[in-house]
Amino acid sequence: MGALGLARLEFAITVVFHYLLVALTLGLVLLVAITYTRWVRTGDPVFERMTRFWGLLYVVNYAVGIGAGLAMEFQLGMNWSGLEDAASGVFGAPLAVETVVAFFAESTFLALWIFGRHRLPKKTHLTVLWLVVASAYMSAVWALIANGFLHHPVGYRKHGPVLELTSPLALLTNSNAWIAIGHIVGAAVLTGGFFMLGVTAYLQRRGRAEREFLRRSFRTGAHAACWGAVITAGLGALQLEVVTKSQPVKFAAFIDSQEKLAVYAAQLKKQFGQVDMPPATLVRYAALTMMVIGLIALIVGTWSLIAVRKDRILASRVLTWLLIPMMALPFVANSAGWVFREVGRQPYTVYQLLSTEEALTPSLTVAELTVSLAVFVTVVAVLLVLDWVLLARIARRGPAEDTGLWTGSMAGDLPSDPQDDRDVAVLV
Amino acid sequence: MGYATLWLCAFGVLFTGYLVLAGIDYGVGLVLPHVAREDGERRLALNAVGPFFLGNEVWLLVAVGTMIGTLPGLESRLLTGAYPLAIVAMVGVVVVNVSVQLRSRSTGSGARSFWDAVVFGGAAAAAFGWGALLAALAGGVDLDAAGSVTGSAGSVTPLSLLGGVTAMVLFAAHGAVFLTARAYGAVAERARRAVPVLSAAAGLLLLATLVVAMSGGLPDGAFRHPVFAVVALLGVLAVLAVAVWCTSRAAAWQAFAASATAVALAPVAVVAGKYPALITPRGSGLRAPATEELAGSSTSLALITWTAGPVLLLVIAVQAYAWWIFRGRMTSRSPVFY
Repeated sequence: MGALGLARLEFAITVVFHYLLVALTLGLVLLVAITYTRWVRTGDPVFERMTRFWGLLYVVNYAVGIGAGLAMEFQLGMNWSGLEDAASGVFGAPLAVETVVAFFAESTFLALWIFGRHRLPKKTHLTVLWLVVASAYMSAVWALIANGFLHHPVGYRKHGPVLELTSPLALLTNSNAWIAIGHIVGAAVLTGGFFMLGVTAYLQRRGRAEREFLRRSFRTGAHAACWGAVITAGLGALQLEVVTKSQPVKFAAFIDSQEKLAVYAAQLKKQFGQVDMPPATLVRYAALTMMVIGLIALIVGTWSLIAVRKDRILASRVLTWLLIPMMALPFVANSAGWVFREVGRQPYTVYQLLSTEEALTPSLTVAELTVSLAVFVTVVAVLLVLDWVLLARIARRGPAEDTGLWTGSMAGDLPSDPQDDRDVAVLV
Repeated sequence: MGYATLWLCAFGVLFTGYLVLAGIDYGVGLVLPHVAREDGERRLALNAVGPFFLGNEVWLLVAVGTMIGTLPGLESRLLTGAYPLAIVAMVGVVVVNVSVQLRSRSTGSGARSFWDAVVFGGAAAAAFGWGALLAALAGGVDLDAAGSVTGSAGSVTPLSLLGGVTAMVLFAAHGAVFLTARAYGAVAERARRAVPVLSAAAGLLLLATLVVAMSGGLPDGAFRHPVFAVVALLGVLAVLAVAVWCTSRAAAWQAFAASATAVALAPVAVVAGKYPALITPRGSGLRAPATEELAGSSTSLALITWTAGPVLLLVIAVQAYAWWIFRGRMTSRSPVFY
């Protein structure tokens, strides 16, 4: 494999692994915020237990996600400087805005939420969590505005070899970006919903949680899973329409039309000389996998939503048995969707403007890339496995045990302090 | 002032802010095995940073992320020109972030000790990587006549390795000063005793770095104003002495202000010495790229300035508020998560 193949493989693995973490983070944070809001409004202790349990799963997943996100951001500068030199005048802007509006705000507010439980007034503390949610979703919006430009370049001008932004409005209203934003937000909510349903079903089978906790978690999870699936499938269908128009080749690969692919290959050969075509089989099967799982999610999600009426889900052995393996499918669909969208764009990095080969850092050697591939893939793979092991362990313990979120004030985790009485008054 | 210059300054502030703030995280990680001997003490040390940890680390993402949008030429030259050092720093940062977050999610004492070793290793790699990257940047980057990076082999020099070791000790002193201010009991006491030792070691290493740099460690023309750099480095020594003095007088937060200034002056020394260029070619007879050549187009800079700018200031204000509410020394009832 040459330098280009190595760099592509490295980026693909980093992005997909990162995205698996992000999808769950996005889905869960919304459900945690809804649950916490209900606790603040009703004072019902079951909502506090739920917030602590689901909140810890969210925080752990977020923490690991930061690691993978860093790996991705560094890679963009190190391996893809051709893209940066040529196109960052346009697509760098939404990425820059994303890091500030999303990451900076999200991390800052999340730290306040974790540590500020006893220091902030209840409603301020709740507002802080909703600000975390808002910044998390803003990150999806801005990242996809950047990504949307790579698929459907708008609002730019060619200035020599460099692309310049001419219309921020066109960039921000790119239809390709917005339809993907809706599709992916739906998919994230679906992922979070099925995660909640699956873990709850497991807790029920093992008898690790009380009835009220199970009942409430099933309800929240079922709504997220069903409505998430509806949004994802609906916007997915609309998106296919957009793809047919703006990226006919991706569609040709999807419907397996050999003659259209041949026309495209000839066209590319004229433009670049020898280039690789997008691997049509991979694109096609990725798309099919995603759609089949979407259909299954729609069916199981609807079934769950019907079953939570009058809490029949608590007695439905078939459904709760099904929901446990069902947790994994949204992750597969998310990855497959990514492959369909991004591999289907090849051999371009910026559609019909910059080839992937031109995007690569020219000075990189195969040796450098082999080392960095080994390092990055090891790092992100370890992170992902670690994340899932930890999530499984925390989930298995169930909500009855102290989860570690918002403890310590009285838990005796810290060494005793000779001046212990000093500022007890500070703690609300 | 044009947008390009504005964002060059903003990048300087953001990256310096990252080194000062995350320097606490890495410093605490580096002194952790020494100042905190058992699980409760380790949790005390880590949760002393606790409410600030996520906020500290994210300054890096913001500095690098805004650089991609505003000064893409600078980012790609910096990272590809010092590829091996950037990888060490990046892996260190990822490892520290994850291990600090996860160590207390395990309940077994063996698992927690393992994670503490990982925290130390990650902190060491991050501190070393950034120090070495900064020293390599001081020396310049391998560029061709068009200003593109030709390779990264020139970034690993005795000077950059020494810079890495210096950064480790400097961060460790900074972290010890922070623990003196916020921890209590045995942890604070051990940290207090470590401050003069670590500060003296950092001072000596800085002098050694300076000697290596002046006796042929730097290529000709790397620094346009070597005097500025020397003055800034002597400033580091002076504020380190202030930090030691304040620590001995039990003025912990004043000592922290001094050690923070010491960390901040290190990148200032490099930038001031090279001003107005930041990326200089290692070979002679080549031209350094100007700031405008490294910057993005003006419309995209305007977009970033007016959307991200206000939010940036607002979030910095929120972080300042968090520092204010968690400014007090910890107690055994303080919230713990890490």
